[in-house]
Amino acid sequence: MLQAIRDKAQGWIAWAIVTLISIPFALWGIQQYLGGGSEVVVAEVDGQEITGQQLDRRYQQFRQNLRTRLGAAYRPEMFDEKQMRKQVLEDIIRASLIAEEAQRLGLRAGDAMVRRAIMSVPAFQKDGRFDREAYERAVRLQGLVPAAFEQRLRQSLVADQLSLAVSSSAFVTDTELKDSVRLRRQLRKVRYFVVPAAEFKSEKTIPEADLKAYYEKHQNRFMAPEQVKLDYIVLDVNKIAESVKADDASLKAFYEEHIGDYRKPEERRVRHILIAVDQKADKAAEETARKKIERAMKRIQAGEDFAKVAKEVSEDPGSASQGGDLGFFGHGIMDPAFEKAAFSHGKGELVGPIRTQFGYHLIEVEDIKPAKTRTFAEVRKEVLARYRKTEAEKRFYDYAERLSDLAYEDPDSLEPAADALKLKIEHSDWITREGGKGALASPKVTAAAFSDDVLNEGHNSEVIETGPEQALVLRVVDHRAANVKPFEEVKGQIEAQLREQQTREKAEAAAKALLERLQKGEGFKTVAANREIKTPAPIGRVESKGAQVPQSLRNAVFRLPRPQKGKPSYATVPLGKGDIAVVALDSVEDGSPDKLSKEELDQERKAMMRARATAYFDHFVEELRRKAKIEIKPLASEP
Amino acid sequence: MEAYETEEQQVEALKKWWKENGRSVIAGIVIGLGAVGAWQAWSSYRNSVNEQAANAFAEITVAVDNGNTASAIKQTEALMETYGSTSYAAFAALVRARLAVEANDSVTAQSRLEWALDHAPDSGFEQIARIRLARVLFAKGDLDSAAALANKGSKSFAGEYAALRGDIASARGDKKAARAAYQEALNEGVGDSALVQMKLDDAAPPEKS
Repeated sequence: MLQAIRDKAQGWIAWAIVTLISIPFALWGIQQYLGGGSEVVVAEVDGQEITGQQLDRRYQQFRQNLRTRLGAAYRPEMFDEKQMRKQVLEDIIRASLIAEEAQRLGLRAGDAMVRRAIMSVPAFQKDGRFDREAYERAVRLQGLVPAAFEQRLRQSLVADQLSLAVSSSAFVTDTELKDSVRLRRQLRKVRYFVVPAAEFKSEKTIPEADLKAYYEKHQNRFMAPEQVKLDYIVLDVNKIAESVKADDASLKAFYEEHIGDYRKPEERRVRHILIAVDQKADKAAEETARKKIERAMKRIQAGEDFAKVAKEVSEDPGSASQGGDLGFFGHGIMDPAFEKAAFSHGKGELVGPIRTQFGYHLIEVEDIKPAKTRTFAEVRKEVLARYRKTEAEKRFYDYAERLSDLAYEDPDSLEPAADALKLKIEHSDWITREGGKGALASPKVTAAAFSDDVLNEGHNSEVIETGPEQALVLRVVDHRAANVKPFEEVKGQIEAQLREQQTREKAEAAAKALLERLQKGEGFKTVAANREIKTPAPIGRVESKGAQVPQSLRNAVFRLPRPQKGKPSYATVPLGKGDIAVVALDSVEDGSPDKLSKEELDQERKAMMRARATAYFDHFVEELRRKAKIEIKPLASEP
Repeated sequence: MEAYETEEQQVEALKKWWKENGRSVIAGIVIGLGAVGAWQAWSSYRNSVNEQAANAFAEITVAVDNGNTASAIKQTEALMETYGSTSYAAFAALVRARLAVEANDSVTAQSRLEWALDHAPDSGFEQIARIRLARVLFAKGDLDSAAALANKGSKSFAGEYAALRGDIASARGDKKAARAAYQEALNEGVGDSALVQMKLDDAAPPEKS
């Protein structure tokens, strides 16, 4: 038989089988060489690859963080995705440079260090102590196993050592601190007067030719954005509710169905006396407490007032001073044993002692508000509103579905949908991408209105939910591309602009002339003429130090050269709205460390140290980057 | 290759070959294994030394944070001595210099920074030690030595060096050179750019009239 196999194995069948078997072996792993598959490399840092998957994951995390931080203010279109991905990739590269360097320097985090770090994380603790279960649960929530988490933690501890080495050794010498105080706390004494733009206003009309010339030259300033006019059908739960018809029979049925909501359960007002004793207390403590409560009970049974005894002996800090009064409460609020006792005895009865988790109680029922059901007549209005709303919500989804179908089946008109659902087609005014009013204010509406399918193809949009109780379908009926506004429309605006410009130029020229007279040695008072000269107290660099003056004036004053030998430095400073200040800097008083308290100096030094520590570490990373071989693939920022 | 007639002949040849080369083969294997083992023992020793030094450095940073200066000083000196071959020794020297600056002890500050400069584990730390040393010398009034250190440096720290050169020029009363240096610092990027801008403005030339 073996011989038979051997003979046959020489034939073409054998060859076919061998060929078939060899194909998978030959192609095994070929996709890795072809570069397909999921492992797209977006960057390389010293030969270490950063994959597209890694970048995607970090980018999603980054966006998630942003979303959590901004809350309702978050809008996806607020951010340039490309820019953000670039930023995230930069962060990854930076981290990988730091990790690489830490390894090269032989920095290590031993097991003991990792353990300490884990044990100090509050999320891994229970009752202020490290809890193994809490730790493993928290780690798993991040999609990791403890070993992988510890590996990651080790890396981050080592990276931290590098930045700590730079920041914890940063210092600021006294010389630098003194220099900083000298400049930052400097005060400058000035005089100034204002040349108001109003002095140069002219009412003379500007020739139309000038306006036209300006219009021709600056057309890009008079662009009207792209706009559309919409037809739309709104579905609104509240509107539908108004049209819901309700007869008494169905209202009554609704009332019966929800009778629980119209019933007010029984409530009781109770006084109590508490002798506190812990659940885990030992026998002796338990016994003492029992004796105490029995003594109190005997006093009340002997005729003493419950409230008086409560005030004296109750150990419930909340109620003792009120004579033990707890006010009215319903079911499900108090300890079960307490509740049972309170609700099973009549008014004025003394109940007890009862053991709860807090200790021993004596109870006296003070007052009972029996359960009460409001009648249909009493609540008819309420029932009607609720019934309508409930019905409207049911119909809303049904309508929305039909609206969606109808608008889709007949994509070139809203009328069939409006007729079938008996809804009105509404017409909007011109709307830009900024959004319209009311139901049209939602960014989803503009996104749909300017989408290719709706704007260019002329189709109905899908049903857009603009709120939890509102949806709409729209179509574009008119479209205006971005264009230059007609001259007539902006003529007035141009005239105002030109007039303002002329006024400003005149004021500037006048102020400049005044400045030149000052520099030639004329007196400040003479030059100011009848304008009011202001002499504020010495001003500091920031508003909190020294007198209040306009910010632009403050900034300009601190850029002026120091006055030389009693000769002030002069300058003109635009204050906005065309007004110009003419200012004389009379003297400069440098800040001095001697005038600061030790705390203030310390704060100043610490702030400088912090700034320096961060800057130096940034320089340090820059140095790593300069030495490393970094390659960023062109596709890196594509989503 | 010669052909063997029988299996006996093959065995014979093998035996002969082993007699001639057996020793070298075994020696080679032993040396190879020994080298791998020694390398592993060495690197595990290095790792454990580095881990101990890391623990010591972590304690130092805590002591510095808590204002525990006396013990921080002791610990930095001890780390430099015990783990002198690790990167942490240079870190400790830098921290020791900071503590000295804060205690107005410019002599110690200078010596530790010089040590850190000589033993810097990489060029980044070398730059940091260098510019800090220059700052200490400048504060001491030794403008020439400070200037010598500040005149060359890596591009990554160019802004900081330029700011220091500005301070030195300014101390020498050379406002023009100070302005140029401060401007360079702002262009290159410097930690406290607001302060450098103030210094630049302060060195403005007097108004011409």
